[in-house]
Amino acid sequence: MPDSFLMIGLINVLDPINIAAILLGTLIGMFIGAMPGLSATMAIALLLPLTFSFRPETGLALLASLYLGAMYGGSIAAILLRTPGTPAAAATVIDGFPLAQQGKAGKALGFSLTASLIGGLLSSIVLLTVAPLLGALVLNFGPVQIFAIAVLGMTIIGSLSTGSAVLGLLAGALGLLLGTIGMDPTTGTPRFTMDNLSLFGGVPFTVALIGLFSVPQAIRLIVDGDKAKTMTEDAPGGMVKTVSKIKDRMLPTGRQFIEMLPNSLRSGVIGVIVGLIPGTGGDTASWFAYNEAKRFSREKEKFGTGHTPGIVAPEAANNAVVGGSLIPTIALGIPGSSATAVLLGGLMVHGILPGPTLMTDHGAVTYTLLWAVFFANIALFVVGIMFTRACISVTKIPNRVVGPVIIVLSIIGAFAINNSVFDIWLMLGFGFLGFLLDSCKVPTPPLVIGLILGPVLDTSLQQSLLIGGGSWMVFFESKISAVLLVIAFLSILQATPLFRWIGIGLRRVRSSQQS
Amino acid sequence: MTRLLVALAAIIIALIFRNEAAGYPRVAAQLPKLITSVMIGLALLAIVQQLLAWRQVTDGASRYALTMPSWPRIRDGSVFVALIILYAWAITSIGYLIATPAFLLSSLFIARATKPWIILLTAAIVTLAIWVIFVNFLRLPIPLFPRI
Repeated sequence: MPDSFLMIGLINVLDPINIAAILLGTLIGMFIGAMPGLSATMAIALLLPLTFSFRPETGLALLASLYLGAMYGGSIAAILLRTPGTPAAAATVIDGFPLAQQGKAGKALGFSLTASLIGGLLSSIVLLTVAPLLGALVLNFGPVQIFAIAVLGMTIIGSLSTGSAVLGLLAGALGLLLGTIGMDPTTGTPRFTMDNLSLFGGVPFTVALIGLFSVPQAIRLIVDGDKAKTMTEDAPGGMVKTVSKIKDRMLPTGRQFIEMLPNSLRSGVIGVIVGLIPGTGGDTASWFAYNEAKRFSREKEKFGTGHTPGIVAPEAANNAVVGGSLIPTIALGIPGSSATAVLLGGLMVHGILPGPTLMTDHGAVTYTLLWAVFFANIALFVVGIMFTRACISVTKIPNRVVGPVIIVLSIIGAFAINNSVFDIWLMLGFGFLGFLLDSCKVPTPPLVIGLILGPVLDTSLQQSLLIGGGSWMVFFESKISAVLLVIAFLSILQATPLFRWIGIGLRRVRSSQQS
Repeated sequence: MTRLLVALAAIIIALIFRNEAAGYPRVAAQLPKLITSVMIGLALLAIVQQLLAWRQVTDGASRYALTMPSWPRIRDGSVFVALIILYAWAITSIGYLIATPAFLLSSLFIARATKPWIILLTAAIVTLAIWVIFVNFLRLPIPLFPRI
């Protein structure tokens, strides 16, 4: 069955409309990613309402390619302006900007684009092979195991998110709580709806994520302005002018390509592995890959001075994260990052619910998405070569112009989902909540993932307790769920000072024994 | 200090939800009760962490300091938020074609985003582009003009 879906997916993706959607998605993603301060997640959230009128596979192909395009687009601002367009491009600044300062901006962007292609293709091959295998394995899971997987996903995402692990877990729990708003799946009791009919079906997930990812961003763009874009301070020797033109060749030569291959492949593998771990993302992968490239290099002292392996490593890794993070999203229905959570939202608006049945009941659409990721990498290379020069003009748009435009798109997008005015206010409510959480340094991705997993947890918990006759021990009768829940418990414990205290105690015992 | 406020807010939210869930059938209240218990536990842990962090800070003045953004940032942010709320109300009462350019013009002029002629051009292009895509192409039934 998976083989036939694989073929159906390939045939679907080669449909001219889907190819056009992939090309358009990479182009839009590249332009949005090139604007400092705009994230790939926000781009997908804002364009999600546009895909309603498309066929599911076309809409998803557009969103997936937009995600990939934004990952590369982030490096354009990083290399030219010393301001990463996306957090995942932060490591690219270290060698990308000095190389651009030497008049080799084209070379820096060309190496970034080629590394993105290699890393992206590697991860999409892994995605096409591992996701179906994992999906087949998960099909044997019942509600008990699904509950354990959801709990584990939630705790890992919460504890590995940036900032305080406890606050990450707290945000995840808040997301789960908000996910329980609506009718209870077993008794049909309306919960926390305040007698508002619009909430009986639960919090519209897409509306919430448009608010959470767009409104805080728009407010920040207005408040912060764009001082950092024109001149960069704290550079060696004081203020340094940013690069506004590409004068040299972009494509690497055959020899340069062969030289960058081992670094790209190693960084691609790092990207896939990091992407597989829920809660980590492109930024973690690119720093990890950068450090590994430096460690493996014979010319360590050249890193930071415009050395091309310092561009290749983070760029191959952050594009490889896309395929890696899609594996748990598609096979288990648990998004590995906020961007894949939004992609999952794209599936949900087309009536495709996340979970183990994604690979079977909706196999045609899911496999089209897998192939779309593969072809989007090739499209990104072509579009990148053709339009990177044009992207420079986008980096010059003032942030204060972008902020209000994001708000207009968010409000229209929120209304477009259910043609409901209530959704506009709900979106703004989530937007202001997101801004408040950001200001208090509480990570928002766990909240979004909690919102997705809330209904999954709710249904699987009630089914499991029915199976176990109301006993919570049902979760420890299955070896798989017991192991997963123990790991989840350990991931919560590692967020507490307990392990640190144990470590200090052990060191004290050891030193007293030695003395 | 921020962490402490977040933790206290989380406890209040959890207690409100828990109180509301108390009136539901046992099955319907199961998960909300479980989550609120976890939330309260995590919030208490965050408070303990904050108290431990304070113990390590020797300077009494900076111990309880709450970092506040600068006044111009608060002013710009508040004005923009007010304009967003006004726009959300206006779009359904006076219609998209009046509310959108009005919101774009006012927010861009107040923020002194760019040159006046670029602001005018941006407001016109964005209003038109979204109208073409969402209303003309996607047939979105958004009110375009004031309700009579």
